[in-house]
Amino acid sequence: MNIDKLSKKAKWIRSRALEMCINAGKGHLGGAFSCTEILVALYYGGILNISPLSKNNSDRDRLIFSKGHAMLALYVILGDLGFFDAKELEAYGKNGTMLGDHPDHMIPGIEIASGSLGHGLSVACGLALSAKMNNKNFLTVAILGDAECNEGSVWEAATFGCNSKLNNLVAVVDNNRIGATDFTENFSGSMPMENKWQAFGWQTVKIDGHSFRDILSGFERAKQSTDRPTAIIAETIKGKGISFMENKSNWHHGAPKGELAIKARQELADGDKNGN
Amino acid sequence: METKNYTDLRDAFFEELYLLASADSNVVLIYGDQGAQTFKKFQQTIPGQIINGGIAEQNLIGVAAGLALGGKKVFVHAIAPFITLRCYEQIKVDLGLMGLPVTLVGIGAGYSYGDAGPTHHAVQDLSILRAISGMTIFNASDTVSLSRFVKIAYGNIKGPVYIRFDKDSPSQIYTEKESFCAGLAKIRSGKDIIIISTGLMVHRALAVADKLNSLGIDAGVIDVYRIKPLNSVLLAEVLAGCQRIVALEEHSPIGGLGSLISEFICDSGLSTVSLKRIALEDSDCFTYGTREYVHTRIGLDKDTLVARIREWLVL
Repeated sequence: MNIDKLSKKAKWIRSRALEMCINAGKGHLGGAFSCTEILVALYYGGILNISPLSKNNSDRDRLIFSKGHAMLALYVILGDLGFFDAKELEAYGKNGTMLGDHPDHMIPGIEIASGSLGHGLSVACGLALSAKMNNKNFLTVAILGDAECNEGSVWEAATFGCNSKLNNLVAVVDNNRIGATDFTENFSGSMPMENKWQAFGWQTVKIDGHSFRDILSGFERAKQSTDRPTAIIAETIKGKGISFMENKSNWHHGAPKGELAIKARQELADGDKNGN
Repeated sequence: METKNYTDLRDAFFEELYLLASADSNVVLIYGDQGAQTFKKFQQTIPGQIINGGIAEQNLIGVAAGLALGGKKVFVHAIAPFITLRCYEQIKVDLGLMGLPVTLVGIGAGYSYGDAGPTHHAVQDLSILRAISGMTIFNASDTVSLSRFVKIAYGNIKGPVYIRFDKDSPSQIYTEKESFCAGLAKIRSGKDIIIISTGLMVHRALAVADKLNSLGIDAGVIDVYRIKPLNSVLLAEVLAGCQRIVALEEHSPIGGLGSLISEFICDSGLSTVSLKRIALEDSDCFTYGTREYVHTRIGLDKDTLVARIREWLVL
């Protein structure tokens, strides 16, 4: 897909995620919308070598979605690509749905159960290491939130990934600068995110996380690394795409209702045409 | 199945693991900066299959999960409390929820690291790992059993496994004929009481039973070497006819062997059976000294145990 089509797809993904959220009366739209372009680039922009046909192939690329709460956009993408029947998306939030508020490994296309933060990068390290041990060329990508990086285990994994020279591993930090209740600088300090990863020996690439050109070139650089993993620090806006959610710490979780639901739908309306 | 004669528990485990790893390149040992003699063999002949992951147990478990997802058969080793309590949520989420075949290898059961103090005592690990769904738990009482647990974990079990063993090396209880598939074994028959124990304390149970026998009390001993899943059918069989049971363990009284046997009795409807639970106190041990010394101070030495059991039998 070219960048224009990717942009349309991202808008459509957001509109579908919004409908899931309104339909269910719940969901983490803020974090889903900050990483929407990243996910669209991975799945539609030719970064990840994975499809419903190859979802069990041992050579497939792996996406470890560590910030599991932000799964709404990912669910829409997996349904759209046919990893599972897109009708399942309508059941989100209903009794008996296979789509939980956090993704589990039994959902086609989901690699690991996530939701408890700080787990994904370690598992991604193990997968990337297994690729090296088995002489396989697949890429492992982990998507983390910036507030998730408060977890000490993230830095255990960062140490391990560097020491193991996992150049087949990419950590994308969705740096939307807001946690569940507050701006991260108020509880994590103001040290730039890329400085931390550099200090742990990673190649870092700072990008605009809503620019497809930036995302695609960031992964190009990551794939060229010969001796170390790459952290793509994606500067993003929480709630991107809906004006009253953007960069607001009170839109970590929750569904817009009434006038807000109408306004949100209007702002994403152009995307409600299958995104192609 | 042929097994070498080992005197040291660490050798029994890691030599057997080395043999498996030498034959199967998918076997990987990852450890938290914790040594064993056999590691040199790994490093010299199959260096790609042994990883020092450093003092970072949460990451060790996550990496092990990722390796398992990539088709590896992973063994993760550290001192028992650190590879269980320290990284409990990783065990729950990364291994338990996804049912991944990763084996946790914890050295230092109970008060093995007595002088090291309560930070190093593994006296709650059975409680918490029992609560992980799909977890299999082995507790070794000698080198023969431990060397078999390695093979069982490697070959037969789909989900996560915890193998726990002592730092000290006890004498042998079993012969190599034992398959260790049953989960428990009647080591000695007894009509008056049966002492159920696990790990190192099986040896103490045998010594206590000897003494009780000399005093005219016919005491039997059962080793529950597989804590989970408990073979409750076999346990009911070997306990048939016995009305007095002692559960003896060097572990917290909450959630360990005594709890397990209580649950078994309750769930089996054995309402006429009397159970005496002997475990550690629900407190942390700051008594430093040899294992024997500590046991004497807290009433787990042979003579005190005999007295406690006799007193209970009179009631």
